[in-house]
Amino acid sequence: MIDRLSPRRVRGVAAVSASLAGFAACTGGTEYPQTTFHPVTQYGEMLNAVFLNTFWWTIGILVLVLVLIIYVVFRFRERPGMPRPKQIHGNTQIEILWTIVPAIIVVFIAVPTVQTIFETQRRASEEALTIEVIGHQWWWEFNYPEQGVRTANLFYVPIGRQIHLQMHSADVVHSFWIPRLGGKRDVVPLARAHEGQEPRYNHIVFTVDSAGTYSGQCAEFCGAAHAIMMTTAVAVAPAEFDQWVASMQHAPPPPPPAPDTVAATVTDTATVLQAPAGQPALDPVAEQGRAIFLRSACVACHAVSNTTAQGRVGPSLTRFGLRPTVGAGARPNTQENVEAWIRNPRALKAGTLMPGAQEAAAGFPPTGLSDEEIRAVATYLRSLN
Amino acid sequence: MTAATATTAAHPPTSTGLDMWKLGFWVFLGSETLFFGSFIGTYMVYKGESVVGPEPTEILNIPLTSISTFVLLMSSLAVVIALDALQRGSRKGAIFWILAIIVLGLGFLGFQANEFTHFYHEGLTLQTNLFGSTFFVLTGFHGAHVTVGVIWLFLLWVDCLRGRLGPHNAIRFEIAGLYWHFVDIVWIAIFTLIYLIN
Amino acid sequence: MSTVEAAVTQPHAGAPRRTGVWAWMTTVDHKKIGVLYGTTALFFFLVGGLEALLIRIQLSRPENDFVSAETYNQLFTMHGTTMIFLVGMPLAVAFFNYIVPLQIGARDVAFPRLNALSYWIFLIGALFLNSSFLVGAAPNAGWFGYANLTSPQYSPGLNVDFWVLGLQILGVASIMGGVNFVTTIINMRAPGMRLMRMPLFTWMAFITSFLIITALPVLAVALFMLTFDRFWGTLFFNTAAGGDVVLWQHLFWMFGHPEVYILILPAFGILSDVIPTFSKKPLFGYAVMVYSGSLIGLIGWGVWAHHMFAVGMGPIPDAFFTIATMIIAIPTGVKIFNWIATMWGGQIRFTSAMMYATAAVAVFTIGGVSGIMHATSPHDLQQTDTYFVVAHFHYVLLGGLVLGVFSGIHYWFPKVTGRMMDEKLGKLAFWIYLIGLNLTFMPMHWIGLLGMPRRIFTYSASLNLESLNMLASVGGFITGIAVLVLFYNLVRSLRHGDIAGPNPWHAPTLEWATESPPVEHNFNRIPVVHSREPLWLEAADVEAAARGEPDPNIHMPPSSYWPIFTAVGVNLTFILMLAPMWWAPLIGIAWTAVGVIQWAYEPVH
Repeated sequence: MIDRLSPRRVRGVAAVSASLAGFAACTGGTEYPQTTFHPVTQYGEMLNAVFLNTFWWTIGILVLVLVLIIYVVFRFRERPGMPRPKQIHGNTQIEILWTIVPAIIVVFIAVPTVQTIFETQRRASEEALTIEVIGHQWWWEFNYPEQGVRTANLFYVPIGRQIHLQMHSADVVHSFWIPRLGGKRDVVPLARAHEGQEPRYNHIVFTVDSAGTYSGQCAEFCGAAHAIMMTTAVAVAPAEFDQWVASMQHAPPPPPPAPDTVAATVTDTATVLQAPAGQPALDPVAEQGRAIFLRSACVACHAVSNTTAQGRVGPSLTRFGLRPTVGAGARPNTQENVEAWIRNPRALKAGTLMPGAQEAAAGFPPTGLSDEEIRAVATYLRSLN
Repeated sequence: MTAATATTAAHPPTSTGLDMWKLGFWVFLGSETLFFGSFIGTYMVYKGESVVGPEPTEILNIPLTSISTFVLLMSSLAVVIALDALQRGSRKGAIFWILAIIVLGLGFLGFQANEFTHFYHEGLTLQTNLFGSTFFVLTGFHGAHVTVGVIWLFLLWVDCLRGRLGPHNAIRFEIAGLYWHFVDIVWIAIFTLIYLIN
Repeated sequence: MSTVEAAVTQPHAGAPRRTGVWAWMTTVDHKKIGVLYGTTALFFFLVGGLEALLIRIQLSRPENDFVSAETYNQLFTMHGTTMIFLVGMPLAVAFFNYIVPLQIGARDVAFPRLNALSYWIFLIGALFLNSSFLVGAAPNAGWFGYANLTSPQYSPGLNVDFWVLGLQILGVASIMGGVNFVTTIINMRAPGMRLMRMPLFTWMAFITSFLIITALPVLAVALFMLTFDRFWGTLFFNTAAGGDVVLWQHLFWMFGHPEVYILILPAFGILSDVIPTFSKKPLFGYAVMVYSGSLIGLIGWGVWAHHMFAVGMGPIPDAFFTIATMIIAIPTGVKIFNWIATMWGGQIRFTSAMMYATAAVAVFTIGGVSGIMHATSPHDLQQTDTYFVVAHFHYVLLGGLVLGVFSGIHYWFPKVTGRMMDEKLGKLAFWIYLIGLNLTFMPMHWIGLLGMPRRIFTYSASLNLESLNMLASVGGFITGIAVLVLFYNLVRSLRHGDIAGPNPWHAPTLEWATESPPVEHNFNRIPVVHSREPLWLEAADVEAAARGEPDPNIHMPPSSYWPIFTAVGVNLTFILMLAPMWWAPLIGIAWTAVGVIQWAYEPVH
């Protein structure tokens, strides 16, 4: 009979061991690329510190409550022949105690929390690197106003320097979240600001301590392809950052096409930034692709720096070859996938606003590119690294 | 809404002594306070935020609206007099004064209709700007409430004419009067916040 | 539905005795309406549960294609909308309807026809909302419908139209119900039933009803604004015209936060009735339980923006809402301790009802704890919009609300049907449910903090969250099995359960003085009470009044078809906005007017 098992004890023990096992698991590291437990910024660490404070207080209360319940369940079970229990209605002193003690605990939780709120929302310093982040359905735009760089989905930051993300949305509410860099912030479509009025940007301010690649994604439901709106931050030494900026401003001629591997899982940033030594001749297919790209409808939406393609409706494709995925996370950046994307984007990412070869979208007519043209264009774009 | 009250011996007395319908109606008016309060709050939040004109100062006619506000206020006075007449058993007085409420209420609605039409011709519609959207929706809902009140009072007036409304069931009218006063108070708030404070 | 019908006393001549479907369609009896609400809500519980399982199948593996993105977005939107508006709230109202008049010694609610109207508006509205599936256009912008995703520009289809109209309809029903119960509880208590003698369940019903009448109008306003934007081109959430999408969030959450207390306080009330009964001692700290419930309701109006910590309100509002949210943990915590103290020193009888109630206290506390973690707003910027939040609210809802409701079902089933539920099946379902719920939602704390956002139809394999998600999905199915066992128990016990008698649990409150099920007029004579536990302290008098010599002057309101007629009109007013002719909703308004006027002039004596 189920009643005769020690049900509460079984449950209690299971709960406690599960928690401990789980806690051990959660200290696992970068096998969880979007973990919040291993921040690489002081900002992220401050958030975790205030969380841990709350965590220990509240877990303590939880354990107390669970232990009490388990105790009560066993100790005060009805037994045959026992008289009716004492009809107690309350105990003012105890009730005052268990009101005051939680109130005090709330103070211990609230004070560091409020301190952290103000510390983490300080304005960025004058020396910060400002990056404008614009959320779109369903990709991320990054502008570096000082450096004159515009890119999409993948962006670089120097370590050791304060970064100021100044963010808004071009359409609906999104949320920018790279967990290892810290907390998220919504990006909100700006109301038309009156003259002299600051538009309501949202801000994230942080300094990255260790080089690496940190991935994230949109965290506010924004429509059909909300789930496929990834972003990647690449944190590098300042010198390499400057090189990247330079390369984005003056894109080198495309090197020979790489073998068909994923262009950048980007765990090794050095490989990524290796400029091919002594620029070999341009691959004819890539050259062809560039010509087709520059004369097709592509340039209505897309831009590649140092070319005549300066469209700003869609993601910039400068150094597209660096990006881990096509379509902001739809598929890994391989020749086959990029071709498939250009042919029919909605087959890879339902709802996306880019027209395909045969299919119109968002008011844009089909591109009409043939399969061969698509192959060439894909080769060209992937060669931009 | 206006069922006969529980005054027969078969119904146990209420816990507070308050008539059931009257209490229920007060509770309902509580929810209506939040309803209008949210619209008024939205108006205040969007005040001054319209990107294009017309602006309130350009188009609102304070003198004219003061008159319509006065008309509505007088209709509330008529409610008080009508209720007193009804409770005293003065059938003629009740018939006259309930009709007065209706006429004054219709007058207010007439002013509103005139105002809306005038604004439309001046280029302010629901879709013109934030002022248009918030103004018309807020005052439109208010006007709809006035309209419902007028219909309700008309039905009570007919009952009064037919001798079916008297001191024994004056509560039915009292509740309609309560509703009317509420609608008037909401208008005072709207008039103050939207017309006067600019 | 129960086939056990109490003898109906219809004291007037000329009122024909109605049976069958027509009797149910025209009933104004709070007990029948309670059964209607409860049965309908439990049906939608299965619908919402199915939606949940489809979601969990899709998420059991990364980059899965069990359902498309669009279907998934509809599923999660309807799962939330259904569980909150078609299950959680109607279940609370089902209990309010059946139990509150009995607990305060009344024969019905203050406005019986209005009560029926609420139900029929709810039913037709619920069917309308779900009919969207039939046209492949179920709502797909989340149960919270954030502007400006829901604006005509970004959601041009019918999906969001169904949502705004359906929710508006349901809101009307709720507000009317709130008015009804506030009036009932203030004005229809039996002699001697002072406010501070009412059972805690009725107290929580009272506070919840205040929350309903204050919070639902704010939602109605937000929905009207969105409706006008979508149908008539207003600019409320049009950013190009200066509209502010954050205004939607403020309005929605000003409704939304009281809403979660609307969902949980009734369950708290059930726990406060069940636990003393089976501990065989009174509720510990009755007055404090009343005050803390009231405080939760009141402070609950001041914490709404804790749903908006990521939207950038600035540090001062963030700090204010952080502190207010932490403060509300205090009255909540007090309740937990009072329940434990009620059990302390008792002689606890672990029926299914009591097991559910005890587990509810424990599981709710787990959810409450993650709530305080959310209140730590800087870290909430990591937690919000991830599965950590999904874990939190499912723990408080499945833990507090559902376990509480299941406890209430087992507790009051004998009163409603006259039969006992099977205890073995009850305990079996309990254990399966407890295991299932923990297996489903405990992993989600990790899933969220390891980087998986909410409301995504799939996730990358590179996140390495497949095993945790699979665990949660398996747990979901186990939870589903438990629900099926419970439902089987319900249905089977209707016919085969042991006969219950008036007070099978030897419970203290007034509803247990009546027959099981009660006669139509509830009490043969309205009892006079002198205590909080009348059936423990003055049983003989109270039972004699309830079941003894009947009062010759009992008057029950007659049945009426005007509520269901009017409910059709109210629904048409909104539904016909989908029709191409601009004047179509006027048909609904006219229909409603006819219904209301006929109703007003209908004789009630």
